[in-house]
Amino acid sequence: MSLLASMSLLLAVLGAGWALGRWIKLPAKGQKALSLAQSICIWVLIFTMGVRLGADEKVLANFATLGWRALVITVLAVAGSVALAYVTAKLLNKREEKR
Amino acid sequence: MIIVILLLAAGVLCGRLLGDGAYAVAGEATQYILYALLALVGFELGGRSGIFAQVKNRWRHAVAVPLAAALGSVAGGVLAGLLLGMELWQSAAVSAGYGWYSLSSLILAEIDAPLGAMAFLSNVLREVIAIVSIPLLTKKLSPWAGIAAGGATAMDVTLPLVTRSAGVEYSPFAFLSGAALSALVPVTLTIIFSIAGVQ
Repeated sequence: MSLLASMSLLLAVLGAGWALGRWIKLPAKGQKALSLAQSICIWVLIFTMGVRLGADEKVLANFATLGWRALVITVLAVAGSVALAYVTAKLLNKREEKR
Repeated sequence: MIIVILLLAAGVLCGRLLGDGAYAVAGEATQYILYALLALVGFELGGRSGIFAQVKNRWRHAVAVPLAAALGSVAGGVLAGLLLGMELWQSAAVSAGYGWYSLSSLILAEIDAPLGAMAFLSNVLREVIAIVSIPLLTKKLSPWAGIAAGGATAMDVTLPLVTRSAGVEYSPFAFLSGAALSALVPVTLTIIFSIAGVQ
């Protein structure tokens, strides 16, 4: 799927949920159930992601040859993202506090 | 974090045992669960008022955090290239997938097949690392750190994780950051290619 198509679909699903949420106000008990439903979905999602990784011969075959280098690149890329975004947000937060 | 690693490991083991059939079923299931989750995140957002005002108030965060995440990611890729003795444009290009493995591996495979495979693996790993680390980063460091770790996946797969660990008020920013980084994948790659003189 193209970026635009997949992004529109995601937005449409989020938007549909949002519209429902504006219309139906949940009591405290419902809020708890909503959190639980989200957590369960996240757990199932993580499990099925694992299944896909484990069943994917391409990932497994590549991991043996490229895994080490790919891992180093990924860890440093995530660390770079986190560090720079953290500092940026911190500076912006300070700016917010001043006003 | 432990439950996430255990679930992921159990999944990998099941996938390994069940093979090809499981891949298709799990792929389909992932898609539907993801949409269900996004609808639930949307629902939670709808129940809050003032979400749009908050995004408007903190538009600087919405713009600067994804840019910082992109820059930091590529800088990390360059550093990795230095450490590994790889050509720097290659390691930078791999790190510029921001977790969107299907697109970055497609583009890079056209230039060099092993590079495409590397991009695929690295960006799948980014998603896995993001899933495992976002709850921790969000709570111990900052929600913005968690959003940045998610990269392009912050608009779908890791959006619910940010929502659960940072609160629903951060989910619009996570979505925007993921969308911005997704759009930045082809842009960054083009810049890297032109600097390196690669067609």
